Amino acid sequence: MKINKQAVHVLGTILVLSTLYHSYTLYSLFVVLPLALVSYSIQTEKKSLLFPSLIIATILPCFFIAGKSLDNIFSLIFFSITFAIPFFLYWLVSFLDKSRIEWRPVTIALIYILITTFLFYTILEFFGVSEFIFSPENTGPQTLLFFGSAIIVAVPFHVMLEIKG
Amino acid sequence: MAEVQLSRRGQMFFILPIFLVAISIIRGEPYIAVTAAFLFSLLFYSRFEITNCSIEIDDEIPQGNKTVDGSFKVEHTVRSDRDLEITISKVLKDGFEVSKENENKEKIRTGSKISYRVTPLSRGYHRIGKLTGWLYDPLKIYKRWIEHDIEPEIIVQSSKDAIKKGKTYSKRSHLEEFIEDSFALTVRSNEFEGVREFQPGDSFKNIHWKSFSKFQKLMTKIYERISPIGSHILLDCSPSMRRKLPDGTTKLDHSIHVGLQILKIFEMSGHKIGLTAYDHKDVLFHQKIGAGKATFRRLYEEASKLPGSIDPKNLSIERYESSLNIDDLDEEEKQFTQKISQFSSISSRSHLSGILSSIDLIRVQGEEKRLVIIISDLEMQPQAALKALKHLKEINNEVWLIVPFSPWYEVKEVDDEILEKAYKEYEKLENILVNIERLGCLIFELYPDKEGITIFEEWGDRKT
Repeated sequence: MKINKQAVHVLGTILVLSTLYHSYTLYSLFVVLPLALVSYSIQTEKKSLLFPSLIIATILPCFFIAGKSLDNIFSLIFFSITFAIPFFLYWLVSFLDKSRIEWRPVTIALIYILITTFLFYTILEFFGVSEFIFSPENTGPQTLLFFGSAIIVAVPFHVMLEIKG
Repeated sequence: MAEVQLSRRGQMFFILPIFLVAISIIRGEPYIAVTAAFLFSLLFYSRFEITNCSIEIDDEIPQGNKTVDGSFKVEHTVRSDRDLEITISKVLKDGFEVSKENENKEKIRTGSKISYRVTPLSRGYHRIGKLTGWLYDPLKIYKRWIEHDIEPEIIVQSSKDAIKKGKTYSKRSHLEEFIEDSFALTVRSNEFEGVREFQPGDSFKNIHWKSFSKFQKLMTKIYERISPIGSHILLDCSPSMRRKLPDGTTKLDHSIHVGLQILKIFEMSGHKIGLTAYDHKDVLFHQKIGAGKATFRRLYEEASKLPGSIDPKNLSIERYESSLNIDDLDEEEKQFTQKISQFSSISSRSHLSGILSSIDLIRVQGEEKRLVIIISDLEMQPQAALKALKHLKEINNEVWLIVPFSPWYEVKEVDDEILEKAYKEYEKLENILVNIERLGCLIFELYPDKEGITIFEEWGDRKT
């Protein structure tokens, strides 16, 4: 439990720094407030406060993030390592009661992300047909495509789990 | 109900990535969509956790006798390979009440114990019910419905206070019903008498369809007469029945008194009567049903010749020497009787027992329906008595059991020790009686009051 608390504080700090880096503005320091609220509720074990404060802590950084367009795969990986994966772990660790994370379900969740990325970014990049989709002017369809792809993968994956369960 | 579904938090969480994607589109920032995709994958994490979590619930119900209105503690240990949160609501069947200190819902963690107190409301065999609840994953996004049947069957006995208290009389006993109802303990003859118009409440089996076409109305068949079935008394004369009581009488005296009265009533209402007296070894006297005229007179004379009382000092009886397990008892018996009961006697295979020999004598007369009244205190050879009862029920007999009790607990001012002993013995007896009641027998109890008057009442009345 104690390790969990420390992990939440450390991840919160990483997220603040990462938001600062990706947003290029000092206004993004506002994200400290909800993240601190999460740390506070974890430290004092006020569980009812945790979920609402996490939602605010999710939405607020997203208003400040303003990176370049995802015009190559490396910027995507860099963003994932510095912001998205810590964010994913931040949600996970805040709710876990024990110090040890079960890695198997975490791997399942990350595999889903990897498949999505592989199908809709890496292959397109490899065949050189990504120029139309990944042009800097075309950010709206890009995001739609990304999340749309997520849904396309998610549905069969859900069905698979249902059958297994 | 779906086994796995999104919780309320899960539904809120589901909206979150969609909302982020909307922001991403409005602001033209693909980075937000990437964050949303990672958050969305948390759903898969939860889903995997919840579907692959095995859960076991152990029940712990304390040993010992449970009595009506005496609450006992039920404990459940929840074991699981992951630390998940469970909300459990207890669903109890009729006949039990949860004490009000506990709420019906409580949140527990796996590996921990859940306990509550249960108060039985009625005597007999009961199952407590089942636990139902929701199993949550750590993020509480998904929940899974779990059901757990509480396995052990519980025998609930009458409470100690109820036994100490005076008796309660029912307004209308089964016996009265039988006497008042002219169709009780009778068999309809097959002589066809005629038809009458169908009245509501008539059996559909008895509709006369040919007359329906003739009269264009539903008509009911009427049969000629109703013949009473015979009644036979099995009287236990074993040493425990003949033990002398403080007032000089024996249980057998009271039993003969009541038995003869019953026979008289049945003879007056047109039944044929018979009597068999037996002890723990053999049949002492047997008079089959419907053997000529003046049967009652002959039985009366024979009853006076039955063996007299025994001084309790000269008598040592091992009470309930072997444990009573009706399931063990029945398994072989059932198979045996189904296959070759026609050709064999049930007493020859078991130990020597008067009651089983008597049953053989009754069976020789044929297998038509009759009323068999057994008067026995069940102190000696209760297993044989149970076997006999089971067998009588199998060959479609109506069986009543009359149990003469030791009159100890009727005396008001006695030592606590004696009362305690009497209570323990009563508990054992009650255990057997509950088994017998399950077979569908009517049970009556018989005891002398302080003035030496025999009191006869239904056992089932005292379900306090």
